[in-house]
Amino acid sequence: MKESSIRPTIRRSIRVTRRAVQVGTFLAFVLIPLLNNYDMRALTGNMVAFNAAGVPLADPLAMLQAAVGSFSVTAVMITGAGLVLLAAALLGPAFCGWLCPFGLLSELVQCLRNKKSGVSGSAKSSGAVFFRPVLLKSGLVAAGLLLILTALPLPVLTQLSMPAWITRFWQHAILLREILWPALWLVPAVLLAEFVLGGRFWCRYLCPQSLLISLAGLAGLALPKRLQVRFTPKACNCPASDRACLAACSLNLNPRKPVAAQMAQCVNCGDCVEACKKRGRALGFKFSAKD
Amino acid sequence: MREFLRPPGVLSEKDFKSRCISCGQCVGVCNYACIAMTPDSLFGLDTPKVFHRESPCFLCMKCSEICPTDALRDVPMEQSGMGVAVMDIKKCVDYQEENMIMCWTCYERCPMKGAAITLESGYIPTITDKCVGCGVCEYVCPIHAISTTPTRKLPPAAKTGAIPSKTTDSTNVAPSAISGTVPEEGAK
Repeated sequence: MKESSIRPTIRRSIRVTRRAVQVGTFLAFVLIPLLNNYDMRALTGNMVAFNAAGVPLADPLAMLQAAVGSFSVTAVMITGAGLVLLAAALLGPAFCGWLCPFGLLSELVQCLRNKKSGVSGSAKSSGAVFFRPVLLKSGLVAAGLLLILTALPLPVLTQLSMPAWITRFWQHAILLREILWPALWLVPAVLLAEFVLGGRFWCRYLCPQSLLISLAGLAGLALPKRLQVRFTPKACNCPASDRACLAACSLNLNPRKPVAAQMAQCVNCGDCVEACKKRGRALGFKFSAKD
Repeated sequence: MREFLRPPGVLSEKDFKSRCISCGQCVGVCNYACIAMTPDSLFGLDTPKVFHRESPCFLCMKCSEICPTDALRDVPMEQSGMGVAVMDIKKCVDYQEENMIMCWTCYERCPMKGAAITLESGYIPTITDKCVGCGVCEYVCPIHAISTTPTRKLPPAAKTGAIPSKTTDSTNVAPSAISGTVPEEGAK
């Protein structure tokens, strides 16, 4: 029982840690333009592209759009997108669950919705939908890239990036002292739609920026090491009808059915691990290959 | 729409827009707070602009250095290619010999002093074909004798030679003073 003596402390803090990281990321992108304003310019940028003292990080889709629109790539584009995709391959689309400021707001909206309806999690639609979300996003991305290639050589899909709108809003407010109005109505409008429709539909079905990172996460499943939630059937002591872990998942995935298509969508938020904590502890994070 | 320049290192407008992803890193690194971000069109993202009449570019070149997609290419300041400044020598006090004034404000403030603006005959400020159009001279000129034309707005004829200027026929003093030329697109 060596494992269980260590794990509970780790598990207890997953949710708190994650919220802290999410809020911290949100605040970091308020702090960065503030620091820039006071002549500290080692960190610059927003969630489209970011520069941490010379280390570039970038939204892979924005880089792809710029490459397609201009028929050229730069070393910084490859490095920036590459680092993000590498992280996604190793950690899964953890960006969505741990860093994305819109993800945070979307989760809060989902919590609000659950409280209102009295259901903890929309547990009825389980992990039966696999590739459909990825298909929708792929269609959107393909249409965008086609538009860029044929008619409009601008990174148009970046206009659909919610984290970009949120972080650009603060950049505009602090560095340029002006209100970025589209961010003020677009982000709340999408949140309202998510509240009405439920199921975090923007993140799951539409967000084009998440496509490349979830595909990298899918490819990462073939790597010898990749962070994932692992289900140990032997330890599961819940009846089949009990869906504590399923209800905990804000993306309506079924943690007890770890198929690749579903694992690729899992953002490693750890909510199911948290839900299982008081039960059989059949779910846990593992940084390894399949068995 | 207010007259604006693009930050240094920009090539053609189309090329620029296809690369600019609106990350705002250029705004973040600019020491002089001279870069604004405004949308170009309904679908267009916010792109960096220099409203040189409010706050000109001092060619520190940090923005073109940091730009991740080379929408602003990392070039030396001599190849910034933002535009070109044209001096109206009818207005410039240094050209009016009866005034006996040596203002030299544009010359003193030019980031490429001695190259982009020289002193002809030792005392008459003259904009040469090395001018990259940063807009500083227009900004500092106390009598608004200088106007800066962005590269993207140059008439086709001007792309190879001198800018047509209203003042061409006005004087015989220092002909090079009245015609700026487009900087060579040297960083191909």
